[in-house]
Amino acid sequence: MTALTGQAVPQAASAPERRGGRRAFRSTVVGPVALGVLAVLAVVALVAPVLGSGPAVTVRAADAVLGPSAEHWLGTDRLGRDVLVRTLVATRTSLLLGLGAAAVAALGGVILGGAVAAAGPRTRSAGLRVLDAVLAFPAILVAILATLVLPQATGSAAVAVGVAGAPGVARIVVTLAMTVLVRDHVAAARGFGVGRIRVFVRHVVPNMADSLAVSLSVVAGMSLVVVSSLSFLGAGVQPPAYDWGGMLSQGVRDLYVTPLVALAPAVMIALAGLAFGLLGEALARVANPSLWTTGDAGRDRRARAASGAEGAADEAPDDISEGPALLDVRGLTVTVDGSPGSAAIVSGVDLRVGRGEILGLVGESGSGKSMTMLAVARLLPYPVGSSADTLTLDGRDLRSDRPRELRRLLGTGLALVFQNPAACLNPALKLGVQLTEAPRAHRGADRARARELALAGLRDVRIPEPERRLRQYPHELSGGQRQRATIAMALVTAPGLLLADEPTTALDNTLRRGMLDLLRDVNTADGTAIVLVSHDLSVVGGLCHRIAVMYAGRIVEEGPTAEVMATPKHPYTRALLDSSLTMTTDLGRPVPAIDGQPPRPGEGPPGCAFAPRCALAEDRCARTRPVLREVPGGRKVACWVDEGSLA
Amino acid sequence: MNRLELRGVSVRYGRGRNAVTAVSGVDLDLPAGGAVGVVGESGSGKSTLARAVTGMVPLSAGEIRGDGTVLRAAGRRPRPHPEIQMVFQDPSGSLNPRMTVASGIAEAAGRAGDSGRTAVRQALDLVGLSTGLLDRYPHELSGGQRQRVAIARALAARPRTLVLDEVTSALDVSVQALILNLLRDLRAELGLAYLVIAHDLPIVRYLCDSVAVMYLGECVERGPCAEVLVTPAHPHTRALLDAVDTVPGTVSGTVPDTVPGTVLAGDPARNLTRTRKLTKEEK
Repeated sequence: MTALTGQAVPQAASAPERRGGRRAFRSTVVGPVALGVLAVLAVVALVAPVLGSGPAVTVRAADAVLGPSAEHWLGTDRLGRDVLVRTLVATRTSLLLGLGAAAVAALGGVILGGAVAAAGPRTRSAGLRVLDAVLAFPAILVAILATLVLPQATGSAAVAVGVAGAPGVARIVVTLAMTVLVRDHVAAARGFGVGRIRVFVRHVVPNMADSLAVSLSVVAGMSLVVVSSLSFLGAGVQPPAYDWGGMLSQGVRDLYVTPLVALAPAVMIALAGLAFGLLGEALARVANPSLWTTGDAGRDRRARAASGAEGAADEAPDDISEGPALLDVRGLTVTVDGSPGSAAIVSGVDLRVGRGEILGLVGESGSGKSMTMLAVARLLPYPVGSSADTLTLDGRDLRSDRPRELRRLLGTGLALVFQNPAACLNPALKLGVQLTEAPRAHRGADRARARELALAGLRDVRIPEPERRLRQYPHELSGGQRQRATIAMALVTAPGLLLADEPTTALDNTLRRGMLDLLRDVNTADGTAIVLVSHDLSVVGGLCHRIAVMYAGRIVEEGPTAEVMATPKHPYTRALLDSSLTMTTDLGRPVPAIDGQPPRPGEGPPGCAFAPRCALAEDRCARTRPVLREVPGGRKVACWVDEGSLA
Repeated sequence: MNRLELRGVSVRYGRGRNAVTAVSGVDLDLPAGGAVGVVGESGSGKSTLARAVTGMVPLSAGEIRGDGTVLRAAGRRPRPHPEIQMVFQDPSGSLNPRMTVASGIAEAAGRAGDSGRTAVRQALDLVGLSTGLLDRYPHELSGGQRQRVAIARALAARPRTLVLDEVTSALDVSVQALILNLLRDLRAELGLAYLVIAHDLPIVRYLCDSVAVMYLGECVERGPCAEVLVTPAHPHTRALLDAVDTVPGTVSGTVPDTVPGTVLAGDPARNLTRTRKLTKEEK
C-alpha cells in the first residue's frame, strides 16, 4: 500500500480499498462468470418485453402445441404462443419479483436480526426463541398465507416471499453477529464508550459482511425460485400476467407432448438462481480485505525475487558429515506457489536428525521454521510448494508421488504435535476412539490390539487410570492430562521422529514445564527423535541436544546446545538470547531488543538477510550472502563478521 | 482517577447449581502511577479479574473504588470507564480486521475531524509507529506492529490506568522485548498505572512494583516484587517460581514436577467446577 499523503485520512484509506476489492473480484473465476450471466439476463429483461410483448401474448389456435421449428425455435404452447419469446419476456417480471423479494427479506432480516443480536442477553434469548418458532413454519406456507392478506397485485408475490424469507435471514444475522460480538475488538470498542448501535454498524456488520453476502445472494436465488413456485401453485403472478413459474405451471400439463414448454422456464430459473449464488461467492471475497493481497502482492514479490536472485552468493553445498541419519534433508526449498521462480520462504535448508536426537529449530515468526516442518511432513498448504535434493526418513524417500505409500511412510514414521496440543483432540470423540484410530489405520491392528497400544501409550505419558480415560471425552481431563494424551496419540504408532511445532507457546509456565519434561521422557525412554520448533531459544534450550537457528528462510547457525547458548556465533542468535527476559534480567536497563523486522519472502538485501538489523554489519554483509560454513566444535555459522574474530 | 482499590471482589459465572466462582474475595490496591502484576496459572481467575476491573463482567460481591468513589459494585450494571483501558493478549483478535489503523485509533479517541487526526498521530507517535501505517489493515502489519497499534488505540482514549492482559504472550521473544521496553517508557512518560496480567513471572518482575499471586480464584500472596518473587511465602508462589524456565546457558539436569492440582486451560468458568470435581474424585 502506498504511503499516506497528509490530511485526508478517510479518502486516502478508501482509494486502495476500492482498488484491492476490484482486483479481488477479478481474480475469482466465478465472479466474472456470474456477472456475465446476470448481465445477459438484465439485457434480456430490459429489451425482450419491448420487442416481444406482442408475439408473446398473441393467441394462434392453429399453431397450438407445436414442436421446435425454424419459425418457433422452442415450439409453441397450448394457445399457439411462441415459447422462446414468452420465456424471454417473462425474464423481467421474474427477476424483478425475485430481487424484490430478496430485498424485502434482506432488509427485514438484517433489521430484525440486528435488533435481536444487539439487545441484552434476556431480550436476545426471547427473540431467538420467537424466531425459531416462526422458522418452524415452511416458508412457502407463510408466503401463501401472506398472499391471501396482501392485495391482488403482481408485486404482492414479492412482498409475500420477502416476508416469508425475513425470519431466515434474521436467524443467520443473529448467529453471525453473535460470533463477532464476543471478539476482543468489540469489547475494546465498548471500553472506549462506543454505543451499542455504533458498535453494531462499525464492528459487527463489516465483519459478517462476507458471510452475509453469500447468504443474501443465495436468498435472492431462492426467492426467485419461491416466487416461481407461488406462481406455479397459482398463488403468485395471476394470468394474464406471467412469470417463469406461471409458464412452468402451464407447461407441466403438456410435459409429455412438448417438454420444452416447461423446460425453457425451468432452465431459466435454474440459471438465474445459480448466477446469484456464484455472485455471492465472489462478493464474499471482495468483502474481506485480508484476502485481497494474495494475488497481486505475490506477483510483485515474485518479480523482485527473480531479479534479485543473481545477487546471492554461490550456493556452495555444505559438507555434511556422512553417517546414518533418521531424517536427512538437503537443499530444501519452499516457495510461495511451488514454482521455482517464485519467492522462497525456505531456501536451501539442510537438516540432519540422528536417531534419538532432539534438534531445536529456532526463529521468529516468518523465519520459515514451521514451513520447513510442514514440508518434511508433506503437509504444506496449497499453493505453497517445496523441492529438495534429498528428503529421506529412515532411508526412505519422502518425495514419493504415490499418495498411498507416502501416507504409510508418514503415518508410521513420524508424528506431529502442534501449538496448543490439546486443541488437536476432537472434543466430540472419546479418547478411546481417537487413540486407536492411528494403530488401526497404519499398523493394521485389530480392535483389541489397538486398545492395548492406546493403553500402553497413556501409561507411557503417565496418565493415571488409563482404562477409565479411554471412555472419557477430552473435556473431562485436566489441561496437563489433555496435553499428555495428545502426545500419547502422536506416539501410539511408535514413530521414530516427532515433529513438535511450538508445542509450549500457548501454555502457561507450569504446563510448559510439564510438556518439556514429557518430551524429554519420551526421548530417553523410547529413543524417539524430536524436532522442536520454537521462537524462544531459552525455552527449548534446556531440552535440545543440538540447535539450528533460522532467519529469513535460511539456517544461520547450528551446533550443540550448550555451545550455541554459551557462545553464540551469529549476531542474530546472540540477539535472540539477549532479548528473552529472565528472573535475573537487569531492571535498570531496557531489554536488548532486535529492532526492525525480518524481510518478507523474496525481499531483503542480496547479502545477509539479517544485515539491516545487525549492529555489527559491514559493507560486504549487505552485498554478498555468507554461506553456512563449518567452524571448530561441530558448529556452523553463516556470518562474515565472525570469520575474523574466530581463532 | 488516581487510585484503584479492589475490596472483596468476587465474580461468579452461571446460576444456581452450575454457578462457579472464578474470582473470590480479592483485595488489591493500585496506586496512582503504580504497576501491580497479577500472576497465576491458566484458569486461576486473573483474566476474569482484569475483565471485572474494566467493567466487562459484573461483580457478584465486593466493590472497586477509584479515588474513594465506588466505580463498580455487586448488583450494579458494569459500565466501561474511559480512564481504565485494556490491552488484550492477541492483537489479531482485538483489532477490527475491517478497520484501518487510523479509523480504529480515531474511534478510541472519540473525536472526529482535525482534532481526531491529531490524536491518531499523537498516539502512533507515542508507540513509535510511522504515520505511513495509517491506512493499513491489521493483516498488513507484523505481530509487533499490531500490538503497538492496540496500545496506541488504548492510549488514544486517554486512560489513567491500563490493564495489560498477557500482552506479550502471543508475540515472538524478539518482539516481546520491544513491547516491554515501550510499556516501561510509556509508564514513565505518561504516569500511567498498570495492572499487568501475566503467567510469565519475569515479565511481571520487569514491569511491576508489586505482585499478587492468584490460585483457584483467590489471591494467595501479594507484596512488593522484590519480596514475593525472591522469598515467596506461599507454596504456590514457590511452585510458580520453580516453573520459570531455566536461565539461558544452563542446560539443566532435572526439571521440577508439575504443580499439583493443575488448573485446566480454556474457559475459566467451566474449568473451575471440573477441577474441583476432579480433585474430589482423586481424593
